[in-house]
Amino acid sequence: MDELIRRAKRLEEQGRKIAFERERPISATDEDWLRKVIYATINIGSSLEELAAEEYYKWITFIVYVRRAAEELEKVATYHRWTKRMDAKVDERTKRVMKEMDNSYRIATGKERCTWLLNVIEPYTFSAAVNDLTACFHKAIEKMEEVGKEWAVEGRCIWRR
Amino acid sequence: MSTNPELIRLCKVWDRLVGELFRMELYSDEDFEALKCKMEGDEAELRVGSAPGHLTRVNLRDGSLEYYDEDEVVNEAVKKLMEDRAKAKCEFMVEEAEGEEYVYGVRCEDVKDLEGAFKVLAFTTSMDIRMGDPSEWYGPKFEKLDGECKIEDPAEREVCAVNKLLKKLEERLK
Repeated sequence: MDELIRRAKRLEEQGRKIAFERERPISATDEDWLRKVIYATINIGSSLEELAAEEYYKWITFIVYVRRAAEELEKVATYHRWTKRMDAKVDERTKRVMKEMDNSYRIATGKERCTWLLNVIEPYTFSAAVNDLTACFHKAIEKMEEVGKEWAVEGRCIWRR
Repeated sequence: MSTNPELIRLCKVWDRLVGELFRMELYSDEDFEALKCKMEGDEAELRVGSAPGHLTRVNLRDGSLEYYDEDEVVNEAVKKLMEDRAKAKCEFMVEEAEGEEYVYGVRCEDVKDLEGAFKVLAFTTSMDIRMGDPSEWYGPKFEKLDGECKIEDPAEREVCAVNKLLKKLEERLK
């Protein structure tokens, strides 16, 4: 679990860098990052499911939406390859999925949203969407860290501390 | 609720034995991958194989154990082993469906030797496939069992194999 969190944090850092470097064109690096985020969310989701699926089901749903948002953004990245990140507009379908991600976050936490820029700035661009995805991915990591403190894993033994 | 330390100790005993049995090539890879023991409070849930629902619940508070398996011969061997090794009172769990009864596992109460029970659980993994082709798993001349336990009845053969292997491995695990 610790390794999973470490890797996820590295991805979060990369996400912030991608979002910050708005002038750079979308390239294979962006797609590669999004694919890694997809895998990381799959692993985080299955770890939570393995530990206590019923207890964490709202968070698991949220994490599924983080993954779905990353999948949609990967398509955006492919479509807009070599366009500047700040110029690549995000389509309505992807925005809807990101909105669903916000909704599922609200259901899991009672807080308003995990994104910052969705429906706040227009046009909503690839760099803004990466910024939002990273912010929501950060919430998933935070939850995983919290869960990691509650559970111990040693070999094939898993127990609540 | 935090986990009973005794349960954690028992899980580690099971885990070490699982490692030994895997090294002896007595598990299918698929089954081995699925193994885990999750604990909370006084309760443990062990996944003992890759088949859905192939698990065991152990309750330390009331000393009970429920082993879920639909293989009748495996259930027969597990019941015998739990009675002998875990010093428990066991019965088959039976359900009636469409006028027919079928066994879906073994329930044990008053488990006096929980360590014995966890050791037996390590052997329930891949037990069905070992029963189906014993010479493949134990060697054509049952070399892994020092040539012993060549018994026709699969449940009795497996009980013999578990006793033989446990005797060998308990020395090593001390």
